[in-house]
Amino acid sequence: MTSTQLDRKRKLRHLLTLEGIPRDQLLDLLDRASNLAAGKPPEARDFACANIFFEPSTRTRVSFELAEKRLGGTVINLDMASSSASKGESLADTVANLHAAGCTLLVMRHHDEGAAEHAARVAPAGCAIINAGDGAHAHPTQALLDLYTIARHFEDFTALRVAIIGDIRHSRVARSLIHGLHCLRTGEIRLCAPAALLPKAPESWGAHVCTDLEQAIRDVDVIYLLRLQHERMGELLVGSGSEYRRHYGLTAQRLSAAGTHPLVMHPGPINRGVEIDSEVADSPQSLILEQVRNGVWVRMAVLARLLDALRDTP
Amino acid sequence: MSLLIRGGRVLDPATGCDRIRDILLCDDRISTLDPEEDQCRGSTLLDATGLWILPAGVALDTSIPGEGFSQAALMREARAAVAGGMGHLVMSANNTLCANDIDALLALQGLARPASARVHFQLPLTRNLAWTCLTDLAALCAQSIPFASPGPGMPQRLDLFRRTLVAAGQCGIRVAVHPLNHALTEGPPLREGATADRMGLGGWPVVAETIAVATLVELALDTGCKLHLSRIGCARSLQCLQSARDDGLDITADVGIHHLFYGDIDVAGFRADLLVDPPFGTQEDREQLRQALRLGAIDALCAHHTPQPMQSGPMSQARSGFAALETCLPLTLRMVEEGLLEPLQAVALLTTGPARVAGLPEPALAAGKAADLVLVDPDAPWFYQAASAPGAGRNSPCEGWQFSHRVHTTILSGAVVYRGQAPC
Repeated sequence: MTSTQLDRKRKLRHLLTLEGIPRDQLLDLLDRASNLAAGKPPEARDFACANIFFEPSTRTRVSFELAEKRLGGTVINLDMASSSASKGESLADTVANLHAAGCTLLVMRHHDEGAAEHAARVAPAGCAIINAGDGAHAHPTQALLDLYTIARHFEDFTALRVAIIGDIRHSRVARSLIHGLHCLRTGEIRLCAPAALLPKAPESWGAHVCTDLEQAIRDVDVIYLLRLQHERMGELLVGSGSEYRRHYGLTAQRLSAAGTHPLVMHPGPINRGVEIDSEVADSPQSLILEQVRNGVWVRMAVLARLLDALRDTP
Repeated sequence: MSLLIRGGRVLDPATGCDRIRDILLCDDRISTLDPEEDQCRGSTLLDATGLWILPAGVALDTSIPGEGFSQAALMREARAAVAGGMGHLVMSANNTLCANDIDALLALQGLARPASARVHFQLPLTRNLAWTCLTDLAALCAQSIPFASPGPGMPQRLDLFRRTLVAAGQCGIRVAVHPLNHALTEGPPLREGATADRMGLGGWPVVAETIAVATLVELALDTGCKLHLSRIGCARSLQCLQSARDDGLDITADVGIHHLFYGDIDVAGFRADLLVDPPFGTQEDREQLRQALRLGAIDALCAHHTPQPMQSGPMSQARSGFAALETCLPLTLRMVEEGLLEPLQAVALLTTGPARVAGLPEPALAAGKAADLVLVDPDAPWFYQAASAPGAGRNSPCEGWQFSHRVHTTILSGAVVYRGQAPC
């Protein structure tokens, strides 16, 4: 749990992780997103923000850029492959220089776990960091948009049963989602993956763990699928894609056998025919595109919240 | 020249002495204990009332930071050592410090002579630790301590390592190895488990250590070489160690001092300043290591002094290790305050224990022995601040800690090499 993202009154001043986020702060973000989605016009703001992506991204980057522009921001997209960072500049110097140039919000994706935490520790006053994914550690805005999407379909999280299926061990999305679900007092969380793709100490995650897919999705309300994170996986953790599909792929047949018509979610990009079949991805039970749509509202809410925090900071 | 240290509580593990005594030093030796008045005539008096008197500490596994070994760096770390009551530094063999032959060893010893602490050089098993040519261990041992190293970490070429152990065993040399198989580790040094999981990091599994310990035990049995397990970090290694000892093997072991105070959970939140090799273990590991210490299953405590600058980057770029020479003795004595160790036990873990491991003469506060001793004020609260420490290291897990025990005076070869400041 980090306190770097909270001020003395336990209000958000950065968004780095959902681990340890106060419930009122999380609910505030979801409320803001809901108001924006309902058509409440955002407050006019004049700010500059930089999207610093050390790792490739499509959905998250586009979503942030749209959110920033809808709030009236001046948006700088940095290609870190050709930036000063590639010439040896430290992350601390990159942050300091972007802030000196006038960027008050820095949206950062980095391959190293803890990079956003480090950036927040070294960030000058008047500069907020938003973690857009750091290694396998956290992806808080993805988890927030997932929670927001779930909340649009289920009012009571305490009665909710969620199964998270796939490469949990290497997934920053899963980590953040589990923290968020716990924060909202979700009734039951199940984790299902081949043993090699489960966390090493799953008992500390407050979730039921199983390696049998049919058992994991039985009577759940939401099935959350994860792709195999090949870029973070070592060798020989799982067999081929077809073998994975045989045991852990969500097919229409398996979905219909779940019993409760669960909704299906996925953070993308999806690998059709591996963790999810097209018939499922394109079915009415799939919320995948709704997640993407909601992502813009949620990211607007996060940006607005942190801009408020910057404005209120003496 | 003689110095009378009067009225201190003498804590001497070698003789089992724990009582108020006077010690008369003459030149570089201890002349006598509880001298008659006429023996003290003309001596300088040092009033040790209320102080503890211990043999000077032995710091195993000491490294020089940054760009490598230099005389200036050694002088600086030696000043840190005597300020922490550590009179003997056992320098680890590594890429920048390697006594490949007699000439190199003598040159290093010459460079170290002006240092305020006594400096000893661990012998490399192979020249430049490169596994291509054996060093002349018999000749080196005659000029130094019978304590050798294959280099940092567990050797990968076990066939070559086995041959070097045969050679070391023939010379009666103890070989120190940090038991860790890096083929099984992933990412920065964090114990695999709940904390690493939450940070999305792979972590270092227990088996990376236990598999190395088991391998070393088998090699000790096979070659007859005396081994030292440097910096045991998990409880299961203790079981393996005990079993080997029950089989009659001469295997010693030490534990890093900070591993008795910190656990993996403390590294949560990306505490790059708490990275160390081996990584901090679970609470159970810490408790079992502490109990092993209490029961005498651990031979020595290890400062593992690896000074680093203040960690300023993300965890992935952090260099592991701490400045520890100044805090090792106060931390050890804290375990006396906690009731875990008896005072003599604690002192032994930093004096007679490591000396036996490294093959140094037994430190003792007895007539005829070297006048190497430390006076400690057991009731002088002070705060540790790495920034004001004499060594180069600025990274310490003890930053801001308050200690009760403070080094008052360090004496080596009868000369005062450190005199502490008044308590803050």
